[in-house]
Amino acid sequence: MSESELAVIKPEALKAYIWLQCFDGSIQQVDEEVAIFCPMICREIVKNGTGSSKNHAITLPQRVNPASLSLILDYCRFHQVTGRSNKERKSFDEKFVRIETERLCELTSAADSLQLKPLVDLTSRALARIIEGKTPEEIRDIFHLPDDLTEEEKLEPLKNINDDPRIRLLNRLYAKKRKELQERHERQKLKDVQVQKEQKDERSLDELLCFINGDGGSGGGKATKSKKKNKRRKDHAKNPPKADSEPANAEGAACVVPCKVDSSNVSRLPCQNPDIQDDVEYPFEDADLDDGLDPAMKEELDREVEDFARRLNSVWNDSHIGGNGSVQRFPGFNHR
Amino acid sequence: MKRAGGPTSAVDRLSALPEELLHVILSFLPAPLVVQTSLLSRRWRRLWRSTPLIKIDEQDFGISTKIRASTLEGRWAKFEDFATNLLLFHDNTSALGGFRLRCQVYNWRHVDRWIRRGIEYCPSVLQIELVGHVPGFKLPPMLESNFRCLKRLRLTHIILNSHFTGSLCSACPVLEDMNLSYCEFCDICPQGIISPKLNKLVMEFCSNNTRYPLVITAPSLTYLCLSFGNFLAGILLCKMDSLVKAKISVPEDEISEENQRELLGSLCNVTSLELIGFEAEVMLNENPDEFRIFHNLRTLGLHSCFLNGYELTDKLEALGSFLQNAPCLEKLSLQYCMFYSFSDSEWEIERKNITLPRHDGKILRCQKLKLIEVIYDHDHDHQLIELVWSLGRSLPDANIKLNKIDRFPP
Repeated sequence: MSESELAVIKPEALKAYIWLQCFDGSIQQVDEEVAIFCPMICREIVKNGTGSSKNHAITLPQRVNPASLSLILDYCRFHQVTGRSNKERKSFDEKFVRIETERLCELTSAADSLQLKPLVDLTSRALARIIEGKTPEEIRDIFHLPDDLTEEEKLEPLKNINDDPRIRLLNRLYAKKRKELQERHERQKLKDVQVQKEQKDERSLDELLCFINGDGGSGGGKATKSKKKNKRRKDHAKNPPKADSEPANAEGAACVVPCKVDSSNVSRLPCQNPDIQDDVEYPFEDADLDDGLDPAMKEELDREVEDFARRLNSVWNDSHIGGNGSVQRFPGFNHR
Repeated sequence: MKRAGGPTSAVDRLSALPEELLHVILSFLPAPLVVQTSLLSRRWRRLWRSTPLIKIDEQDFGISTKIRASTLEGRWAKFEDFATNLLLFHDNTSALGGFRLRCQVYNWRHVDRWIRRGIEYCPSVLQIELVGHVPGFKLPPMLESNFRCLKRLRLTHIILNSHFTGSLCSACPVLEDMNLSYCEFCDICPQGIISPKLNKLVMEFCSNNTRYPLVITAPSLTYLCLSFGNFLAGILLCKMDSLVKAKISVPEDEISEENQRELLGSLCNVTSLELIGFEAEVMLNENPDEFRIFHNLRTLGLHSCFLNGYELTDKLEALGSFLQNAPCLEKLSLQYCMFYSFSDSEWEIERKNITLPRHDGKILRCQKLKLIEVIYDHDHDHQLIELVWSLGRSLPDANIKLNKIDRFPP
């Protein structure tokens, strides 16, 4: 082709370009106005003068892979045009984030390293929308998260975080309350022998569960069923007085919370099984009780923490937000 | 969303994101879900405890102002448990990114406790929104040192006493952005908002229930929005030297005329001004020496102004006297001004024919004004035509653009 033809065919030879180099060595040529939409690239151009030629391409951070880069450039190319309406931009954004979750994660990372905050927010929101409304299992599935928490950890998230003096107090309280309850139950057991009584206890367990979980509706029936199998064990821990005085409830509940996988019949958390609690709590029972806290503060903490003990775990084990009643899904409770 | 391939080939890209990004993602999730992420995997176990944003919203627990008392009681118990413990178990107690609370005051003690705890974490962004019928909730007295990081503050339905306004000055050295909605200034002594670094101030539907004028001194303020509210006791702006943009709307009879004039006068440095509800008496500048010159004013927007029963010529005279003090004005916008218009034409007195008078020749001096935009929704009685005619004759150098925008879209 003759030079004049070239000039006609490629008028954009007059435009300014920026050269960008990914970590893998590939170099891309981009319109300047598109590239400077990214703060990090803009800074490189202004401060270090790089990017103006192929030999002096701007080296992009490692987290920007070529696929993400091309998406980011698409984003910049669209948004750097000033005439667009908010509606148009929003519409573009919505379509833009409809990509595979893996790509979305990579894109978020790349946008962050280029300091393109609007895109970071957009992609983060999209990831949040994916996470919202799903059970932990589904989330692990979608994002390929390792299922590396042990059963106990899933059920008692607090147990292993014992660097907090309040947590230590709490664990001590667990032990203390359980002991008290056991003693009380021993005394009561002497009194009631009938199955009737036990069933009554069971109902009060349901009431307790209702109280804890707020809406006992859907889970109530199922709970009764599953409880029958471990009735004995449960008797230890439940037997709560009515929901009158808070500390009393906390007692019953404190033992209710930590829970063991009970094969396939668990439909409602927290069910309880003292075994695990025993195992883990023993180390703490003989722990030094003097935390260096003065008695007044101890008492206040006592009160707060004992209520908190069951409640926090009940909230954490309650995997449905908003109480839609679908209680079947709990972490680690895949039908074994 | 099950993958067909083996799970071993899948990479966990989500958890590989840096912690700050995971926190950004968590910031878009409701608080109960944030806590539940601790069940996902080891990486996520403690993430919720260090997230920089604590959001407590009663809506996450199904609480609203519309549910029955019996339901509310149960749900509030759950909500309170969660909120109290969420605050108790947060890691970052020295400089929280943001603390947001939105709830009714179903139990005063609980809400007070949460606010205390939240503020104790020295947040950079503090947002307290009380909803429903709020029986006069005052902020708990706080240590001033807790406000040292505060950059943005947003309060809704709170009573502000002199303790609060006093500490704004000394205790909030980096406060840039303040938004008060439905707040009341109450106290027996005069109150003022004095803030050296405040950049943006929005006050909507606030009221001054002290017996003294509320004085706002904010030398760094660039944007001011004063929207309705009861300021019969007065409101004064001092030292608004940096002010660039202002939007003031005065409801009828809730700010005295003199106060309105004073307000206008203190805005003379702005570049862009939006006035809502101002009347001719305020704008009319009988004594030219007294009125301040708006040296920088480029854009003036009037909304629902000049609706009193004066003649159109008088109204335009008042407007003209204001325009003459804005030598650099380039654009004027009149939205629903000068005449009432009702969609229901029953209320109109029909004038079958009108006469457009030859103007008395008084041309308003506003040399740079090139564009006048008139926004209207209904024109009965030919009032729009009269307005446009008169505008055209008094400001002959400006183009007039007509725009019909329905106030209440059907």
